[in-house]
Amino acid sequence: MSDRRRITGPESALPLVFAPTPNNQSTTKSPQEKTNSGIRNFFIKTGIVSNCNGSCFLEVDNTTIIVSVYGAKPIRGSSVTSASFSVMTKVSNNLEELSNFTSSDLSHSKEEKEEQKLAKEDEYVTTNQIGKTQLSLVEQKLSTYIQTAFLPSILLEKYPKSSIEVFINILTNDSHTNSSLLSLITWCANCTSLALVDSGIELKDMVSTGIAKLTDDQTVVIDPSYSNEGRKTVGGQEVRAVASYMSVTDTVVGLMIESEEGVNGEMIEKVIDGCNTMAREIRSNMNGFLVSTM
Amino acid sequence: MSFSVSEKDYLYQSLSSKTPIRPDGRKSHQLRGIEASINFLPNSNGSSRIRLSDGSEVIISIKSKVVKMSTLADLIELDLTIDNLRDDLTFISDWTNILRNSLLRNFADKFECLKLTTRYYFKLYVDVLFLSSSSNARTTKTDTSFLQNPLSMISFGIYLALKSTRLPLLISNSNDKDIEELPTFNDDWSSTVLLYPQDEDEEIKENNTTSQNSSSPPLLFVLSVVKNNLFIDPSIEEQEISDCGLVIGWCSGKVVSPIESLNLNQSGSSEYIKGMHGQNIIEGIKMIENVAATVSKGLDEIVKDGNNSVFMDSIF
Repeated sequence: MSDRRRITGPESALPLVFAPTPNNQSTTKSPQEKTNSGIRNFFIKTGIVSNCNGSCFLEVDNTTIIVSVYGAKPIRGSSVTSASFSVMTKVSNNLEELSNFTSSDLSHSKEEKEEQKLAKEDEYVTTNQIGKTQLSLVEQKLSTYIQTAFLPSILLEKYPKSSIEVFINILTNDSHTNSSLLSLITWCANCTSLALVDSGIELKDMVSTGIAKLTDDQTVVIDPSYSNEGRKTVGGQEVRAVASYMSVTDTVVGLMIESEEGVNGEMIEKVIDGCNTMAREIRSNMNGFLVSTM
Repeated sequence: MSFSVSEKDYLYQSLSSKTPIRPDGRKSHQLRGIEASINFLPNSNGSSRIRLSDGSEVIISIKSKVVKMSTLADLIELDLTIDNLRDDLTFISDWTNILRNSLLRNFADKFECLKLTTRYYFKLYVDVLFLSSSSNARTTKTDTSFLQNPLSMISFGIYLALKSTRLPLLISNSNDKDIEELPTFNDDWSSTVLLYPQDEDEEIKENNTTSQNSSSPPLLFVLSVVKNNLFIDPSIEEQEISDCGLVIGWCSGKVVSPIESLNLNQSGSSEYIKGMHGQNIIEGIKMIENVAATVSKGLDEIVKDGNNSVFMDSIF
């Protein structure tokens, strides 16, 4: 009856499973499956910078971010009861155009534009030579947002007389596609969150950040990507928001809402709900990642 | 502020209770009274000064310059000086950004009023000087522990200054598309035009209240969140113990961006910073919607009164 030329197991047999071979790749999480909520796939890896206390690398589309955390380091000659927390951002390529006010260019040729750009770069170099740590507008905004959002989450009083420093390095970014400052903030914040966990600094909770936009027809788009974000249409009523959450206390720790037109409470409620949904999704992803790296 | 732990705790308790009591007896939606005057700087196009009863003061001067057009975003330059703090401190440049962006986004008629010809525009330089009540207590140039958040006060000042700004009247041809021509102006100060035209006739004002509303500079309101309570225009003591800060913009009858969370505690101690609930944001927006119109009306009264120093009691 049965096939005697082949050795087949009993019908209830299970396939043989080998234990995973331990290698360096185990800390790497493969790009996650695209979820229904429409968050882009992102790649994360922690502990890649060796000379700092904690670090994280994040890649989403063409944006790559490295966050390194130094601390808690002792500071000399100071007797403060809690640690100081500072954030520095560095954008590697030129993101000047990203400034969140999008002006329509009025009648000027390409050459003029390039001249201006050159002049701007010169200016930048000279200010650097003086030795000022002049951050660009984008870097400034990013630093402040991250600092405000993470202050409530870190148990700073556990580290008296010390400082915790976070360095955010944006390696690549789609400058051609006008990716918005807000989406950059979102991913930087999420990356910082993991870097802080990696550093072992005591936290009240992990901060997770979501971005959403409310379009003309009152629909909420979560994690609007570059392609469907694009340049705003003139006169289009569009509200974009970034919100950071601490899920333990269910509080908003960071918030930034942008819109060209006036807004009302209803719109804000909708768009913040969108951010919350994404933040929760991100949080469960991060939890999964952290469990897998343990 | 140099409050002790128990004093701060007392303040926190009284602000977070169901019927909150503010230390100065204000209602939660009540602003501090201001003393304001306009047009007192003879060499600038528009100026204003606002003083609070705690001694802090903001002086704003607006000057203009004719420039060849490049981008609209370059038409407004804002410079913020706070006491004699270093100007490259992160929070100072951050405040500058917030103020400048709110101006750029909500400027009247999308900069039409600054347009001279097809090639030339007026460029506005907004210089802000903020003197805080505690500048004497400061020891170093980077000591920021006594500083309150001045955003709301500065935006009121900019509002007044912009409303009192007069620009020279163009007498050359406004169309220089074909023949380039340097713009020339009427040199009589009495024939200058207001940047934000004032309604001189009450009738006109009544007839088109909507158009009158459409041209006002933006205002910023700082809110402090303590548990479930929101407080508008927090004093420095209230800022220090608040869970979270919120800045909300308002322009021409609507809440506009920026709507951002703020760190109100410049001294860096974070024991009170906790974040806020989503509901707080919605409540904050509602509060601003209720209060802002009164504030802008009050400020308009000051502009109408002209040079007289006006003391606005806590009418808001």
